[in-house]
Amino acid sequence: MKKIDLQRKVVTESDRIAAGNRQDFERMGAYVINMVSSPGSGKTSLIEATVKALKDDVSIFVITGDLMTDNDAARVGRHGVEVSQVTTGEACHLDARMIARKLEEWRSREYDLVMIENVGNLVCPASFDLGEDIKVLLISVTEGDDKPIKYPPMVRASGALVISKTDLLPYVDGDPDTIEANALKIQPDIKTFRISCKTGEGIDQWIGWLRSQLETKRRIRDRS
Amino acid sequence: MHELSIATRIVNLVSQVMKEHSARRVGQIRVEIGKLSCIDPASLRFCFDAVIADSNLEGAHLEITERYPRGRCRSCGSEYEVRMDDFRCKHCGSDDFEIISGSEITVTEVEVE
Repeated sequence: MKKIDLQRKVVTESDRIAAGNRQDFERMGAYVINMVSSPGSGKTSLIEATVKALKDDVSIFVITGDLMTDNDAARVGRHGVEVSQVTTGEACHLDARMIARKLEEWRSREYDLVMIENVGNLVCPASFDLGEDIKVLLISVTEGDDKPIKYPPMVRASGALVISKTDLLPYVDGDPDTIEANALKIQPDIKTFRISCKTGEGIDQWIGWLRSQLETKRRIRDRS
Repeated sequence: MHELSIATRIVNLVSQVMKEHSARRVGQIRVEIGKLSCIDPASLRFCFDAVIADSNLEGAHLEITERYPRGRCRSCGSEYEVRMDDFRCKHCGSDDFEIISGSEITVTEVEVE
């Protein structure tokens, strides 16, 4: 048998579709967030708090992903923003093809902000690019301070970390300083927020940062 | 689940190489998996074996090597193999680094005849 030296990187169809999604989002002018976390860390609550704060002057589209039910879409929809549910059936993550199908439905419309709520899972979504601008990782104070170093690929892939449910700190052993320090060991560029959707603590900083991201995106779009 | 699409891509790639070299059989296929890719070698092998069953690639086998991410420190200039629980520079501890590899899946070599 003869040996053939290849050195060929494997690129999947999913990667190709994600690149296509990215182009479609660019054309739409939208800033796209892919929200990831364990199940129950507070993604839907943060989306609710965000749309409440921004919907009057920012056009928003939300995509929620779950195995079953459209409960999250219904929750977000009550705030009067456009929302679409992806029920994956058994897939434990959203993939680019699912997002591409949603894009087909509303390609002609323009949005400032697209928020994608991924399926609760800290493993698989790390390797499925959806075409987003940034992954936002949520870790609640109940999950253990070493969470970031247990799931390094997800931390590596994320641009922002939201430490959530800070209202529970009096009742649990969680320490946001340690969570943040552990995340910075893996991804020194990650921007950290500490929030409680119950009390509203930290939401202003989150919204302020989001507005500056939208503004930067707008400036880049207008320049091109 | 991602392992199946990776296995399919590898099969497509190898089939293309077979055509280019007018080969009828494939032996060992060397694959490097970056640990940041979240691809499980055992699952990949399982999916690969399932995809090639009863095809002209039957008999081919994957030789899989897992690669730790590699970092390059912008402070001291050194390259290092990354510890998965702490990506900072192994030599000087700096957090000013770039990850130069670790999430790729690469077919490095194929045996054909």
